[in-house]
Amino acid sequence: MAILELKNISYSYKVGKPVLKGISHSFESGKIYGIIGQSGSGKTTLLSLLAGLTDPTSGSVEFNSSNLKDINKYKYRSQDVGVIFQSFNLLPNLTVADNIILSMDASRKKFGQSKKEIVTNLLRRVDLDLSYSNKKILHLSGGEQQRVAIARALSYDPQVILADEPTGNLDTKTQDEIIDIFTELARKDNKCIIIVTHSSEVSSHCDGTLQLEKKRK
Amino acid sequence: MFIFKNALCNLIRTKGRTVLISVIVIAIAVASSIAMAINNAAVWAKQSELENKTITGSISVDREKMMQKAMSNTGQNGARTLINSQNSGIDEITLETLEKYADSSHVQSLRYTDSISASANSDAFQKLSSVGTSGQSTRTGGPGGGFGGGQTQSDFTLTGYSSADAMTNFTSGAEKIVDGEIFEFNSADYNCAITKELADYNKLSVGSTFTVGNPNNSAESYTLKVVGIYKQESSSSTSNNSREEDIMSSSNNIFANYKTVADIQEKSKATAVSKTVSGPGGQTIESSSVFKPRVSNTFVFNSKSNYDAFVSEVRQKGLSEDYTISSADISNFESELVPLENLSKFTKIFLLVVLLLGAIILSVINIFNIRERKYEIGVLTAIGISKPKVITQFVVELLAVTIISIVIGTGIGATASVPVANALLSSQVEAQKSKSETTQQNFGRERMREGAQNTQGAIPGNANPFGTSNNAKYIDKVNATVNLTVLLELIGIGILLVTIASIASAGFVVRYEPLQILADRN
Ligand SMILES: Nc1ncnc2c1ncn2[C@@H]1O[C@H](COP(=O)(O)OP(=O)(O)OP(=O)(O)O)[C@@H](O)[C@H]1O
Ligand SMILES: [Mg+2]
Repeated sequence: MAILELKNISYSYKVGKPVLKGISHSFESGKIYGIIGQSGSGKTTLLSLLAGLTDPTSGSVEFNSSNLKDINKYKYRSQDVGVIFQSFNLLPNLTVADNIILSMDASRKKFGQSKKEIVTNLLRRVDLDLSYSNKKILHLSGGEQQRVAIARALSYDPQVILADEPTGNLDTKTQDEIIDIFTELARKDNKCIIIVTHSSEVSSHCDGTLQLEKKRK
Repeated sequence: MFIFKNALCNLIRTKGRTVLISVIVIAIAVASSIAMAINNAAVWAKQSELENKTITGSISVDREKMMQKAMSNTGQNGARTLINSQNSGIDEITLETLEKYADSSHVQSLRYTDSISASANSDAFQKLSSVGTSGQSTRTGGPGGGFGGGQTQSDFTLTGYSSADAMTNFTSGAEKIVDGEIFEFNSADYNCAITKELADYNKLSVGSTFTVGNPNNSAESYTLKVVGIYKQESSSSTSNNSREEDIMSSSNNIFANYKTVADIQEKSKATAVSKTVSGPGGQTIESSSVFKPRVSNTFVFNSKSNYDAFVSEVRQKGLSEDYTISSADISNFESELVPLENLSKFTKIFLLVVLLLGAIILSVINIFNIRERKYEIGVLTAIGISKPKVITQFVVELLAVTIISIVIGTGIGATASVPVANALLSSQVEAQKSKSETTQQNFGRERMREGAQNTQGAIPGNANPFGTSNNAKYIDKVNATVNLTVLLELIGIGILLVTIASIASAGFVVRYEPLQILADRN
């Protein structure tokens, strides 16, 4: 059964200039999906719609068969979906640990372990040295920030993970590790993984892809 | 809730901003708490001093009105006219009227005195007088010039008191019985008290009798019995040239009870002769030899509010505008308050400016802050923290800084307020003093402070023998303490400022959608 479904959605930032038009697609748990297309084709826009950051101009996004329009999107964002933004969107003044813990706090979920322990495990998982835990995001490189953003998206155990070019700033070794993480999440933990990517290496691991066309101006 | 934890952590994370806001709020709190303490002290001083204090007031003829009426009654021929109750048509207020007014719940008591000018009519009892500057006293001749035009030559001032309370110079300790005791007040017993000087001079002692006459009618003679001899205590505040003379003239004050003096006046009426004299303006004035009473009255109130109530009550009972009701206590106190009130006025304006500036500065910082924090708003809402929570976090941050800073600032203000208030006040007192000194110099002399002669209870016939002090005693110390009320008021103001700033920030938070903020970022 589809956990997320796009039903004939269109989206335009400016009236009369749709970025996305008539897109339908369904995403299932336990699978990895790739969204591909040229720069400016609307990949990030589509991801924003799936993340409930904005509503489609027409059509609907359904999560577990309920229209996102009708559910509490704050709850949806904080509990059900983990987003790895293209520009990470971490708080620069907070430490790595604080950024991750803030998302766990926001989800208001109960965790079996202490939040500190979860942070330690996640950092190990994204191959970031534990000493980074107390460093401010400000002082991290792009690749390091990307790994923190991934750790944050995983921290509160959401059912869906949306990743906007999660491997764009990473070397091939780390990229492979991240792909392994996503594969494991899908296969073992039955998560639905949706990845925006330009990399054919990444899309080759996907169970299905959604190709976006750039609209003519 | 994690929002509070996050708010407090944020304050520590953004130390620079926190310190900046703290410093501003602390400065505002210090300034405001001192200003408020001064204001409270001024209000407190005014209320407590006047509310819990016995106040005396008196009703008297409005001299200015009397003058105007006398002028118009006698014609505007440019000549100097005698101004008195006879040609002004304004009567001195009668004792019955006074007693009617005194019958009020606002009045604690009514005291009155009646003074008449008596003359020496025997060699056995003569007045004390000074000659030149030697200070030597010599006996002077018999009764002075004749009567007429209301001007009489008097040797003695005989003052009758309604009660012991009315003898304020005794109650204050300015005068003291040194031999015998004070007379009773219930009948016209012709007992009196005289000064030690006068007694020594005339070789009188307790139990002796003497006679005095009417300067306007030599047929009258009254015998008084000395029951008490009193002494005037020297006061250090007087050191002017007229002191000697003052003492001489006040040495000739004879005190009796009111009934005795009233009885003398009754008897005087029975034997009165009248005479027509021509006034300086050419007009004729009829004049009687009867003693001219100089009645003064003192109403005693236990608080200023009773005094105020009495004033309007008496006017309602029909006291015309030809009479004034005044309280030297209140006018004295008001002049004592001038520096404090000036300071309080200044601090009020200061307070307003500080608060206004504070509100502006805080709002500006907060708005800049919010713009800077737009990205933060975007991230927080993107990860699923609702807008109300984000607003709460921002408000908690601001509130925590503000309240902690206010408490610190008020603490500093509390330690500084008393010395600062007193320092400011003393500069105000100095300013006020130099102002009144200039005024005195403009008059070419040391101007008598208005109302000061009545501080002892408004007894004109027995004016303070030591003259008046020219240094007004301004209130120069206040208990400008910062109390809990000030702290709470300031916290209230702080919350108000935070609320204003928060409304501004809430506006920003509500307006932005995370997608826009995150897209706008680069
Ligand atoms: N906030 C916005 N307001 C107006 N137009 C926007 C906004 N964000 C994106 N667009 C436009 O929408 C179109 C799609 O943008 P989007 O960011 O979804 O592309 P993308 O496929 O993610 O590109 P890239 O591969 O470069 O990340 C672009 O033409 C862009 O100019
Ligand atoms: Mg994009």
